[in-house]
Amino acid sequence: MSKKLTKRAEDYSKWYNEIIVKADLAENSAVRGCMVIKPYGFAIWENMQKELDRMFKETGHQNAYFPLFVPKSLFEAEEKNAEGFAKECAVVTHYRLQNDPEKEGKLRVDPEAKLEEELIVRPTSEAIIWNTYKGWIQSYRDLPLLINQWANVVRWEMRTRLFLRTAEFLWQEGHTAHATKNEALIESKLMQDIYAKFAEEFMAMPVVKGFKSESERFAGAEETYTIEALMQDGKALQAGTSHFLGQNFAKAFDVKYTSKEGKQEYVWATSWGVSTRLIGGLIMTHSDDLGLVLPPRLAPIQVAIIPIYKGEDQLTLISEKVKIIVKSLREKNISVKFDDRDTFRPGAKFAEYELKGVPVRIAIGNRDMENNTAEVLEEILWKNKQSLKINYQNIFVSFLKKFNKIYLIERFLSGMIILLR
Amino acid sequence: MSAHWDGTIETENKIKELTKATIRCIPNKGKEELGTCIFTGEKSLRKVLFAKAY
Repeated sequence: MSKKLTKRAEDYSKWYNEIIVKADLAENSAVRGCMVIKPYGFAIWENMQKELDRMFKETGHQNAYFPLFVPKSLFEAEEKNAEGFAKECAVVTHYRLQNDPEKEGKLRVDPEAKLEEELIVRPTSEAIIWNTYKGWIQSYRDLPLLINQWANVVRWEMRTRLFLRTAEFLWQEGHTAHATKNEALIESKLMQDIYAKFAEEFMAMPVVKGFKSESERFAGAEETYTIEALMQDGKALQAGTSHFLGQNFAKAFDVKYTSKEGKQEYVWATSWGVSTRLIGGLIMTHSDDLGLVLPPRLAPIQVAIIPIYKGEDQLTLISEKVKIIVKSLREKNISVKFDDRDTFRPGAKFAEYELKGVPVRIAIGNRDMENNTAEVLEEILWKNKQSLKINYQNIFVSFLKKFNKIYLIERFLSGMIILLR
Repeated sequence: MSAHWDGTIETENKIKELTKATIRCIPNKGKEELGTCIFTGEKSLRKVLFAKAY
């Protein structure tokens, strides 16, 4: 692999940027402030999505999709929300390009194609969604309405950093409507609990649950519940927020329902979101000077198997045995990569998987075939490396046990780190 | 760090100006306990978490 990583103690921020590029997670793009999420980084996001989506659905939420554009008149309807986001909005003013009569081969915005009303690229979707809810909610029978969307949003940030703060980012935003204040409060706290559970059980990232002071609150919210994580450099990361919106959006968009008693009442709202920022938190919670360290539950590759061989015959022999191991592991839903590329030496492969934070890395050589054993190299986060000899036929059983163990140790260790600070 | 805060936006802003630390949250688990604000010395009922943030 290329040159070594900058050490965290030397320059934490440089280390952070380097590890993202070297582990092939993401890179800066031709658009200032926007990143390209590369396949390995996107696979982590997909794993996060899968688990979060399952948790949302288990608690009664459904996915839907709303437009990217918000007409300005809707955007400004809830004043505080609009004021809070106004300074970082991308605005669409025209809908057509034409050949530039003054510069051959160039295009220009067609001045004739000006939109009657500007469209705001969503920085968050309360406005467009609450305008839609007006048509969906008439009676108490329509409540609660529990919707989530997976989407991109744009916030025109001046100072951006890969994953942590980008002008465009991916997230999920939940938007719920309820008949009573208490029900909406319970929902917003429930989602905070779900975020905390996800952070701790899947990311192995300890968080503090709390609520925001007025000045840090979401624009348009009456209360913002947050999960805050402590990074290795002592800085805090807001990892997820859940807002109790009161009746602010219901009033701004005139969303009322007829109660059981036949009265017209404004509905109560919540919204909540986590984003690709979580990947930044994952990196800064676990990774070290040697590279990325990923908790097994979110690692795109949980086990990498690297053959040590001379010549085609040995590789064929090893490959046959490895097939059995791979099959056993896949049956247990463990994601395995058998790296039989002959364009890289084993040492380079090991270096690559260390840098990429593959939790379990196995070398299988010719002698292992004879002995029925495989050398297992595993790294249990901050623990030193261990080499174990185990029977390859029972390998998946040990893995299952070990995966359990890795997970527990992770939580324990990250808990310890908090205490020591 | 966990410290008492007098609950005013003015104090919150002053602390931010001087140290770049903001109130990250008022922890759910925090109990009510009488103390004095780390900055103004005014009365405070509970601790909040201050930190520089990403």
